[in-house]
Amino acid sequence: MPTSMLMPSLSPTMEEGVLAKWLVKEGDFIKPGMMLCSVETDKTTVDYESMDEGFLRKIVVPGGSPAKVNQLIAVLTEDKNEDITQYLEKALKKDQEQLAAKSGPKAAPAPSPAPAAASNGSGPARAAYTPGPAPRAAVAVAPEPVPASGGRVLASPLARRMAEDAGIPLTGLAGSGPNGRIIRADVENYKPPAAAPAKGAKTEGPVQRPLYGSLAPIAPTQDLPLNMMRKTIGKRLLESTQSMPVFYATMKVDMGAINGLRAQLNRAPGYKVSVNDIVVKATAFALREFPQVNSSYMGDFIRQNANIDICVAVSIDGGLITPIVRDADLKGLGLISTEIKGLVAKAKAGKLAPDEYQGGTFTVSNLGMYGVDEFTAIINPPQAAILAVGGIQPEVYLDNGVAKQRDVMKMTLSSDHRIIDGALAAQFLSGLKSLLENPVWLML
Amino acid sequence: MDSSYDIVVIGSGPGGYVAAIKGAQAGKKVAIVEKADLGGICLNWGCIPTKALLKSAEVAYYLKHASEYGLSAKDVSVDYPKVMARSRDVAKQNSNGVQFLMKKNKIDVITGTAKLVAKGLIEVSDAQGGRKNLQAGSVIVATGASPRMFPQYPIDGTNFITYRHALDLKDQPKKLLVIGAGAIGVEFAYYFNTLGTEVHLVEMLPQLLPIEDEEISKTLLASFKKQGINCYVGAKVNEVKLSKPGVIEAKLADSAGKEVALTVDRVLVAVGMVPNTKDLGLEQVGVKLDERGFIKVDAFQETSVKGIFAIGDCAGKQLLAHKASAEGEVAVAKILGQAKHGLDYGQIPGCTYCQPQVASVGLTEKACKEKGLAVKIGRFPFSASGKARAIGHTEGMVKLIFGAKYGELLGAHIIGSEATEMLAELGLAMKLESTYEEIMHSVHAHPTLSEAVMEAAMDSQGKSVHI
Repeated sequence: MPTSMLMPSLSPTMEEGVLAKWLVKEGDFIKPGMMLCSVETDKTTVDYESMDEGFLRKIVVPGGSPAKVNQLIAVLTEDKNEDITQYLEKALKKDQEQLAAKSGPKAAPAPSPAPAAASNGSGPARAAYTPGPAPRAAVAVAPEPVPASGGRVLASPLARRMAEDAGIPLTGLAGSGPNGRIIRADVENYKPPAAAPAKGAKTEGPVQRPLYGSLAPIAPTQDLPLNMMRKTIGKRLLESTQSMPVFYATMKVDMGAINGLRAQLNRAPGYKVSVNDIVVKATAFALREFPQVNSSYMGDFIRQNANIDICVAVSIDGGLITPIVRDADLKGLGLISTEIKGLVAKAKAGKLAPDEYQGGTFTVSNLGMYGVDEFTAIINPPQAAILAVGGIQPEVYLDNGVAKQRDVMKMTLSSDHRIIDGALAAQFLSGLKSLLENPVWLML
Repeated sequence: MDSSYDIVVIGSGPGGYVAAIKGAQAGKKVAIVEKADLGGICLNWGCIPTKALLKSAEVAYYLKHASEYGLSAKDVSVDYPKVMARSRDVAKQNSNGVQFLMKKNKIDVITGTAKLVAKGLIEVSDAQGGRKNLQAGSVIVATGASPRMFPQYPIDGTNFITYRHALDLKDQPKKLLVIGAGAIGVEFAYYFNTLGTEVHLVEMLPQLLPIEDEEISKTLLASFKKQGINCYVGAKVNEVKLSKPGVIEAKLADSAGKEVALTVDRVLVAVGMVPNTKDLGLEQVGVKLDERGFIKVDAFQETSVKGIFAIGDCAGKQLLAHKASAEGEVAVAKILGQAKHGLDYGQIPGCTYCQPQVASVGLTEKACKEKGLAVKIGRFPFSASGKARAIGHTEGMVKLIFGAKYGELLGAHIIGSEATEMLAELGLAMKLESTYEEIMHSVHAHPTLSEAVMEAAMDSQGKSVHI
């Protein structure tokens, strides 16, 4: 009776690996515990040990070739000379069918639910959108998101619960238990990022004290400690700027229609929709049209994400965080607006749950409210792009030779050139511009 | 023999000998000074020999109750000297085991009484009047504790005795008064009662095992009464008088203030311990003691004098062998410069080996209340356990206390057969900061008494299967 030997899954996130080298050859007798082959994953190279016994009759995936997890890589038999032709044919056919099923709808930007393999990260397969909060997996069993440095976050069950309750990201905690395990005391001793000097200016308006010509003593040079958030921001953004070729493209949007729309929308009782809410909605719409922009660079392949999960950059004390509007393309403007308000409030209170800020497929950063005309933002890997939105400014323009005034907003797309080329960025921006200038399309 | 060491340990009880081994394993040159037998009180006159006696009592219980198991045992009698001899033999074997461990780890065993002369200098005088000086980079004091003496109970070793004498009695008392219902008093009360002595157990505080959870102690009190032990809690000993050798008149006032007059032939005094910190030269070298004579130490067991450490009973807190060993490890880690954490004294288990056994770790229900903690409590009685019924021990329960908000294990209390063995998983759960979820979702083998632990965790959420 032949048995199949399948490509092992060597880490929870592994989907595919390279069968680097066979350590045995066809005809060899395999015993449990014998080293069969070395397998390269996205993280490391591991020697794969046999759990079966038998004669290695056929190597299906030769050394140096990639294989999906659970793909047939070899066939074993109990009997040295048993005929394996039929078995092999059947097994190969099954593999082909499975592969086809997985990769089929992946490329199509259809709004229908895509299979799990094509969905973003380890999340469940995308389902039709249902209002209300998404069910959250029990904390005790939910796999922690992998921190930037790789590996699992070691934390006691109690520490996990306390951190979740307090909205403290486990990845921002330093563990004092064995092997850096995060324990209760670490969560209790967690100090929220210290108030940044900008706080006063932000909450109390312009600084009142005289800046120049004052005899007030000048604060001495200070060495401020880096909190975990600053360290993480520094590390991730440096990584981003050093690891990808980025180019920037800016486009100007006539905001007349949006201003009109907002005026109408905000007459609806209970709603106060911001420009940013509309930008998020329109961006999600545009991403649906340009799925290449909603992608992640995964090293040796590009993942085109099925979900459109938009991160919204929020400035908080001591740093910034990017909570996520999940499935923003499927949500109405009212819901997006309410969700963003909720997320911002939670972010400022330091109460975001990890699944509310980890993941995301595209980011919108808006500095318009600070009077910024335009700026460029740094991409949050593995996302492929980020949209930097400036403020609305009046400008004079010529309409058939007549000088007129209008409100405009500038938006700048930072793109990872490994995924997005200049023309694509331009098409995306111009699609987004059309949506913003004709916001009634968002009702479609 | 070169008399200069990296570490000199004074006292070879479970604190001292473990510290010595840990030091030697790390490559340090270690000596241990012992004035009596290796292993200290624990191995020779405490933990181990009492467990041997209690096993004899349990076997006697089974023989007396053989018919309940469908067996008959006739003419069962207690051969008291042989019960004692077995206990002494067990102690001896254990002491020899420590001797072997010292040799294996190349630790010099120095017999005699140690005295600190200066910070790094110890003088050891042996019984023959010989003296020698040991130089030590670090000193670990692990001298233990002794029974507290009261003038009204003149300990003479025959009429008024302590646990130490009880472990070496030539004859079995007929009527025994046990003063103090801590672990020692309770264990001896159970032991003598089971072997046929008429036992009167008196405790000043309102419950047996005053440090245990009230509900657990109440269960024990009910069981002891059923076993025929005369228990007086919240009671006072007004008078004890030796009228003639072997005849002691005692007058107690019970919890209601009513006088109880007893005539017994032996009084076992088990009311607290005092540290062995005198005549060690501690004060002379500047080691500070607290008002009760215990050595003051920091979180890493270091005394007020750098390089001198104290562990175990002489350093206060819980007077328990396993706490001493754990402190020994902390002290050695500190000496090696590897210490990260001191001991968490809220996670030291405590066990009492009467039947039903009592075992606990963490906070009692009352302590939680006093700390103002909101809790969820789960209980599971052994009367609902199939295994408990099969072995004929349906007394007792598992009681688990969890924080209401996060579900962390705050306290675990078990009374019943094998309670002391069942406690271990709860100590681990607490150390790992587990919540009720991990405990109730750990599949427990069936049939075991330990299933009650899982059920109690479920019960804390109102989800017990078998009650």
